[in-house]
Amino acid sequence: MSKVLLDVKNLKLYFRTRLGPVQAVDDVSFQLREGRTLAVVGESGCGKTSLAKAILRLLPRNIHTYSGSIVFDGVDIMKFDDERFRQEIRWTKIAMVPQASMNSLNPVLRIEDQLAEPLLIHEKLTRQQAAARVAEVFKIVGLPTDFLSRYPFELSGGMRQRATIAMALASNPKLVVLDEPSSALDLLTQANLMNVLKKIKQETNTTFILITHDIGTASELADEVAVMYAGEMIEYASAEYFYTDAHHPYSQKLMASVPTLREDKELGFIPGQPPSLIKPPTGCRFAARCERRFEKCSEHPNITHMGDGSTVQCWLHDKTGEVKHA
Amino acid sequence: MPKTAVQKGQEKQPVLRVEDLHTWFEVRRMGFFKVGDVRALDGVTFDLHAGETISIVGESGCGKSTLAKTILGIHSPTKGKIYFEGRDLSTLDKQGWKEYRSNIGYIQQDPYGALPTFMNVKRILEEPMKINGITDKAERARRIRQVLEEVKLAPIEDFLPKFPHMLSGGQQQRLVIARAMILEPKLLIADEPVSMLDASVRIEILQLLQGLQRKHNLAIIYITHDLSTVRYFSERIFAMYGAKIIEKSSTQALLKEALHPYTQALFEATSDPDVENLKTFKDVPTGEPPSLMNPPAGCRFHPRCRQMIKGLCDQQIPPEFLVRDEHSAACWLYKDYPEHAAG
Repeated sequence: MSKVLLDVKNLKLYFRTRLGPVQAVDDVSFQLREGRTLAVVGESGCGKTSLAKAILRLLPRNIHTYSGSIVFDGVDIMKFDDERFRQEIRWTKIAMVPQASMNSLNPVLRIEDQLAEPLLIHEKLTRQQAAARVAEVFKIVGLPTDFLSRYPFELSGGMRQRATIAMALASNPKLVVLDEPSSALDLLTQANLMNVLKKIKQETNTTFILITHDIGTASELADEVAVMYAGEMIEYASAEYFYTDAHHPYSQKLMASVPTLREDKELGFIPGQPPSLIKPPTGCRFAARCERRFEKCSEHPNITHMGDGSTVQCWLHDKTGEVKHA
Repeated sequence: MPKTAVQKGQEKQPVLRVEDLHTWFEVRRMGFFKVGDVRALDGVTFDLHAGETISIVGESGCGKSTLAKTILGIHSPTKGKIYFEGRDLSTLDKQGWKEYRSNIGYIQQDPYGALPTFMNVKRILEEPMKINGITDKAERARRIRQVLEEVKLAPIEDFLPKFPHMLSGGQQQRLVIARAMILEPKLLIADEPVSMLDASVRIEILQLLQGLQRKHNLAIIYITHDLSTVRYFSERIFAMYGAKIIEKSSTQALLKEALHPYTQALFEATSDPDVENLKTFKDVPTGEPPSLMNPPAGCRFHPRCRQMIKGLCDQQIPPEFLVRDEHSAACWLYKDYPEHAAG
């Protein structure tokens, strides 16, 4: 088994608002091994993107709490000051492709110059070296190199998305965070992009965190799946277990609500809405929408380690992984 | 999920009949010199009966929203005819149009963008009734109650004074549906009604639409890019590519076997949640949809198609071939089958 690349413990990210702190990421812990891909899934507003931003320390100004430990490649990067973090970690070791980044390329810069910029700044490469490296990653993402001298508007949406992924890969990061990389793309373009990412994953040893709301697309890349709900990571499992036998009632409900094309199944939905993250319930945050809640659910559930290597935060599974039927 | 089984009587008049519909947009340079047309809709024909749902699937830019907007009268057709309950829309006067529009409900993709931010729920629902001459206050209040009950925005009294930003995405979409239903229409056009919503509420909204359809015997045009929801929602599927309908089929037949190489690619590209996906690559065509200003000659899919027949697909536009009962494809691969008369 490969070594642990990312070890997140008790990560908290709260935002300050007039009504009180918003608990966007609340006590999240997980480990990710080198070369694996973790898919973080959940509904909008559950804290997926905030988790990514907390890992990359891309924070807004209204921070209330930012604590916990992030051990990356054996070093606790939470202890770094901002300048050291910027120089040594962000974009050199951990890169990110933000949501809708294909529309955020600078329209007046050629693709080549834009992709080379982080290499010139972070890696201190010469222009020629940078150009060679950019051409190299362009080939990896499957774009013809003569597109390098074009401007963003001359590329289609799918091509621009590939260019932003190339930009993230250019500095040879160990970890790449992809935030909804394909949700703005058309179906066929999306499938092509997934093929490209799968190929990169197989050919290089890059570790990915894939943030998505689309459980179907996530299964194209995920080795591990983490489910977030109301700021908490309520389940973490290998894809193999998650897609066949998810433990948490929320994960099960979420799976049941995804329509499938190839098999007929009874579809369900989850009534109600996620709780406010300003003053979330003190017990299980999903309890109000859960069909299997019982008295215990008014207390905050512990994280239970299941026998199959997955963790789940639910009272039903507490006590040596035995399922209690309420 | 049970299907809304509708035995469409052939002798019965369709609610909507679309005949050889074309919608082209002129492209001008410097506002004066015409340089060409964007052929957003290029010859579309179909019938829609009461109580029936048809799904129109395709990627962005294939003309599916233009079709919706042309039926709604937002764009006027360049060529072709639309009949609503047997009446030709091009013959309608102003009053006729008003009446026609009150018979079709429109459900937009982005609920927040579709709702006026400065109006509360009560006003949003009252507005269409005021415009359409329902002057009786008690009657308006009755309809608002009824429609909010139908879309399950309860307790009603709590929702009436709320503004759109106070509602969740799912509730906003319910309100959009309530507004579309308030004039008791016969036809609903739902343009990607759930694509902006979370997975956990999508099914709820689709089931709601299905319930409304059964109750009011509505005809529904469901426009989407997502094949997997279609399966649970409609009886017939039309696939569009490059401003044309390229495959028409009953849902069951299409799920068994898609005929057109493009529809097959859409199938291949759709991921079901399955760990096995990790091990396989998707076999999908690369490239981009065609320009609608200078569409390729012949079949519009031929530059991306692996089964292209040289000298035929790149030269002649394929007609609709009827491959089996209620399943036709506009593709030269099926040229040995009888040509399907439009409709």
